[in-house]
Amino acid sequence: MNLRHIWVLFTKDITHGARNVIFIMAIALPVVFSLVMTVLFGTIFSSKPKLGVADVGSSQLAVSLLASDFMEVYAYPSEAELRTAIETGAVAAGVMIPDDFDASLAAGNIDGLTVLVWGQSLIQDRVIISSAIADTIVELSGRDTPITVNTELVGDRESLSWQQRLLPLVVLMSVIVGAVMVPSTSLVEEKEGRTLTALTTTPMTMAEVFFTKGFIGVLLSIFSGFMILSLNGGWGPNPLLLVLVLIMGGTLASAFGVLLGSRTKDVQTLFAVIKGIGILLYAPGFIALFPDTIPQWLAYIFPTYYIMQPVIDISQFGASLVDVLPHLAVLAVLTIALIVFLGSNAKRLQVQLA
Amino acid sequence: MANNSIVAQDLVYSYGDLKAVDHISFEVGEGEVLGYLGPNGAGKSTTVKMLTGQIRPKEGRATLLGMDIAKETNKVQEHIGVAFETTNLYEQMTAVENLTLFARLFGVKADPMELLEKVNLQTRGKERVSNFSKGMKQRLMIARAMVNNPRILFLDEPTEGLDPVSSESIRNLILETSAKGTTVFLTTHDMYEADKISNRVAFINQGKIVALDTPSRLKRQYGQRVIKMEIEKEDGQIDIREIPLDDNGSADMVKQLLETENVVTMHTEEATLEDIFIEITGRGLV
Repeated sequence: MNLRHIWVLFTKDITHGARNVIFIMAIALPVVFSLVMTVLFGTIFSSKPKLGVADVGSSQLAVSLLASDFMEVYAYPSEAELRTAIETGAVAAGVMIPDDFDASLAAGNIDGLTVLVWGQSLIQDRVIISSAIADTIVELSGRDTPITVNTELVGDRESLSWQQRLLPLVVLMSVIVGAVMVPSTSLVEEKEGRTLTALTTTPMTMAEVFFTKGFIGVLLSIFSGFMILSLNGGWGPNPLLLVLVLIMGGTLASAFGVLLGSRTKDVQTLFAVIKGIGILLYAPGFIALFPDTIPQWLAYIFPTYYIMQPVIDISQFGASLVDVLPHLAVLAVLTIALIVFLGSNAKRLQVQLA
Repeated sequence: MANNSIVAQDLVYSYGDLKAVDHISFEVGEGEVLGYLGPNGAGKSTTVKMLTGQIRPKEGRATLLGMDIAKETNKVQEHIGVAFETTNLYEQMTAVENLTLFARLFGVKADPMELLEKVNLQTRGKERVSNFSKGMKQRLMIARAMVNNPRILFLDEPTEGLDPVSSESIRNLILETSAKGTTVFLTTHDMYEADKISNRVAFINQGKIVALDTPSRLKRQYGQRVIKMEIEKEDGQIDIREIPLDDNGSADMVKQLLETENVVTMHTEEATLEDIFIEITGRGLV
């Protein structure tokens, strides 16, 4: 691999390819989709969790919670209205503060406060809300001992929210659109314009062309994923791990894009193929849309599942490297296999072009 | 020629069962212009593809500048320039941008305007290639092929689609380049062009080289020199007589006709390369 060749083609593709419709679409589509989702459902990823408070005794706890920076806290005049808000998902959780709460706290009786949690709320939100309430009580009581906060699930606890269902699809879109579409169309356009032959009669090799196109796909994929996560506050507690997954996912998707481009003779055929296989690429995302009707294990058979699931696990549920390691291992094996296959494909394409 | 820039030894290439190039061997000297002639499907392009490293010979060996093209492809490609018959430029880029891109790929500092001047495109450097005519694109491809100051230049139908003035300037450019020591491998259908600028020509037919020599020697070997006379008859009709120049009784025949007939025109004529090709292969060049 000659880095100068790669850099020259890379700068050419970025400078002139950036005006290409596919290039613009690859960047804009996931972001637009994300914005539409945000308008319809609020943030796709968990931002600040929403807490409802019904305080009948003008408690100091309610005042402190309402002043919290970590949560969006709403006051409700009665327990009935608070329950309705929780059951409809207007808030992720709610706390009913008894009228004698401050007196009990002063007497040292501080355990036993129950937080009502919406059954479809994000686990991350539940953890934040419970911790914030416990910390506030500890602060108000002046004691050092930890506080136990009881939780009670309210509403339908079987199904997921539409935000949660759509999230995998948006993640897949952000990683795949740029990584698959841009390298494949760029390569096919070079073939159609016969510029690929011109390039490979210079000292530039087909492998270097493949690498450059794929690298641009990976960068676009990371950029797109970065935008989606940033727009929706979805970085979670392990942003570096998330970046690693985006890089690995982008690499697999780009390698697939290059393979697609190298095997397709013109742009029309390419689009037809992408339409045909698009359902397979996004299948894990569609399967996640219907957790009650489609067995979720079906998603395991699709390679893109191993891109999507670690992103969800890390950003939504705070998964660590150990938690997502099996997924990343599958991702790495698939990527290496595809890159090895691409190596042999480069030689085949060289002969085919000639 | 002192040093051979290209040495092809027993090259074979086949597409499935079809043998496109069938055991061909030749050498091209440094600074030589070799015209490579043959009809469509004769194996011209396949030969060029093997010599430029686009495909590997199935059998045989080709060395360019002393390096085996199959083994040291990238090294060889640093020293060659290729102008293709079919346009393959970045159409959305300007002429200057196209040349700069390839100069950067070769890692050389080339002056795009100087190259454009050589092919009479100096005033169009900042225009998008998509606005160029076919002839302009053809000239730009030749300029691109010269961006790395190549030691071997492969030109595939370089003047096809060009107007006579542009064609002539390209031919002059080829001669200038060859005079500076660049070897030119010229694939063409244009017999006049091949005859005018090639030091030697190779005829390829059905994958085999059927003749390889200087144009003048080929003409001497295969062609027949004749004196062509136009004679006006009494009824005003023109009769054409061809008298072989190298026969023993030619002079007497010419003398007799001049004395007894009304000879309107008389000139010598020699065989063209196309005539020779037809004589050797039994088929035309197109």
